[in-house]
Amino acid sequence: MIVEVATTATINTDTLPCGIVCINDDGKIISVNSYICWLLGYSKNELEEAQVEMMLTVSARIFYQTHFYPLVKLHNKAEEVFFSLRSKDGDHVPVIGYANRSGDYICCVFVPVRQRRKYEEEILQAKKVAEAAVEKNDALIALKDQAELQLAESERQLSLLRRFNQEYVELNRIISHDLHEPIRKLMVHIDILLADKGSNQEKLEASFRKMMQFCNRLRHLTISLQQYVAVDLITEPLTTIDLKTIVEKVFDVVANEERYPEAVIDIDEMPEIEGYHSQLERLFSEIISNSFKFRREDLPLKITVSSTEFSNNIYKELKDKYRYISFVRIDVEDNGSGFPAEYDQYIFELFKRIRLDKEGAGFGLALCKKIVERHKGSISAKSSNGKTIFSILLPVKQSSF
Amino acid sequence: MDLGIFKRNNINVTGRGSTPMVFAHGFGCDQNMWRYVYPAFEKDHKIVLFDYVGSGKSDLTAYNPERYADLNGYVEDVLDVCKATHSKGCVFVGHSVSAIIGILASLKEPEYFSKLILVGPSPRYLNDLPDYIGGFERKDIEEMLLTMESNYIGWANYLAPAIMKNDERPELSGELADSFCSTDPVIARRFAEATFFSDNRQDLKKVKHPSLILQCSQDIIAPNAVGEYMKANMPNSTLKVMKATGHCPHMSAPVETIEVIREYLEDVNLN
Repeated sequence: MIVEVATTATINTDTLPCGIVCINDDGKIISVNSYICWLLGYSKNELEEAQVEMMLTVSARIFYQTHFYPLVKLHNKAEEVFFSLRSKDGDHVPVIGYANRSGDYICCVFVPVRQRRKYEEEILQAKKVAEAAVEKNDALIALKDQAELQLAESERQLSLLRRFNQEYVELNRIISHDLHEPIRKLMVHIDILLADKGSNQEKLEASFRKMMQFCNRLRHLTISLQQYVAVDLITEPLTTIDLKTIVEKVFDVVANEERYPEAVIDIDEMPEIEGYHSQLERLFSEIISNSFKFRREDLPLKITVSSTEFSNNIYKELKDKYRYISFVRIDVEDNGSGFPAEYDQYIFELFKRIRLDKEGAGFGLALCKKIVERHKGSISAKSSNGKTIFSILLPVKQSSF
Repeated sequence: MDLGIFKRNNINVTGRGSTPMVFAHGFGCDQNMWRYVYPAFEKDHKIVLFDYVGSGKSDLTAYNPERYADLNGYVEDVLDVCKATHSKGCVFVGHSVSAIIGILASLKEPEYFSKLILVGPSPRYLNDLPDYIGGFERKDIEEMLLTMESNYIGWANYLAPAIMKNDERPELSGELADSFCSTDPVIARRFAEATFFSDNRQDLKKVKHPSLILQCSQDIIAPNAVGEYMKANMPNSTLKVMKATGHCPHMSAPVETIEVIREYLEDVNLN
């Protein structure tokens, strides 16, 4: 038997057993067929010229914008995409959609899958029950919590170890050089005194004065060193600290000490954080007096203190471990003489100075670094274009560790 | 140059200018979504395109559930990309959730940013009545997650063997990698949760960089009221309501998008 196929027959989309919807880039429905109108309970007039959102459930609207439209736009088609359409009565109609893009239009075909959807939901449900059982396994949760605690402890130990190691290297350098130097000079002078018996009073006095200078230097170094080591030994309790009050107080004290009332400070709103009060006061006192010490002669000193809060990972030592907690970054900016860019690490080393014409033992910033690190934070500095900024990063709550 | 990050985030750098312009895609897509927009800026900028870990052609083995449990991991991705491409002072262009990711990154390491272009941003998608209307209830988002999941069961079974068998149609696997369905369903679900359940309203007031909010007409994901909320709460921000409708003006109305961004950059540079 021969079947003749009419090659000229055209398909009337209104007779097809699936929904057809044409949409433009603006999401406006251009045309629909009868089936989709019947499926959703709208008339053609109601759907055409309306936004496509009208026939989508709220969740399907998100899915359309985040997944479906980008997919069709970029790849000119989409296949077998599951959707929930929304009928005029507000019922959800599960469909599988196919789309083709030609010219400025997206042509979609929707086939309802009510029965199939039920099977799928059952499968999904079973999958979820199985997953939940694994997740809710108490023994597993307890083990995970324990492992988490141990990891946090390892992190603490590792960072402490790293800090102590760095400090041992520093201390070794200080004992072998900084402390040694004045002692050696003292010995030279004593040697001279011992060898030279016939010196007059004046010469003797000059020598003793020199020796006194070296003794002073030694005393200063040992006191600084003691303070530096003591940062770790302090038994002060953690308290909630109002940083703004500290900065204001410290600024007044330093301005008074330096006898420089022309200085101005502008302090932003600052959050309260947990910390060791005396240490944080010392920290800002060192930073602010640094600004005073290195102010420019030709410009009145202006200090600006601002702060920003954001989340940061507490794990620095352990790779691939993440727990984000709130940190605050405090930027102390001044218009002083600053320092050359290459010294941005050097200035935080103990007893290192870059400006030999200024007083000080190169101790303050090293102490700052240690205080910040004891608070599980970090400090950095940069200086360029007449601006010097010290950035202090501190966790808002010490107890989060 | 950190080649590890280049591979991990599938970084592509192009353009002939020196000012970096970093484009960050939104949830549900990848860097391809910028293809109609970035060429217009190639002449004057160094263009940086990338995929978040877990999206597009990123290295899926680098996915760490702890890191990406919330938006913070994505913030680190942006900063890693900026660092790897030496993009200090970049013009950051972020779509949808990437607008917020960019804001958070700019708070964390301000020197990497100069301006923020926020396409369809929302600081919170869920309603918080009576004072805030984000547009959605929790159940809408749960349903959307279910829709995503339903799409994966179908595709996972159907497409996985198809890739193996289709040696004679290599374009199929390429196409697959380009589509949203190539993303691991678990990763996609977590990204969706990190996106739609986040609340970053408190971060807006901290923003220091000048920003442009591109608000589409009739955007159901980030409605007009949300754009106005952003403008009212973010210092130094400019709100531009576009003729384009929907949530993806960079795809549906690239010409207008380019024009608006260009105008803004010229204005800001003049002032």
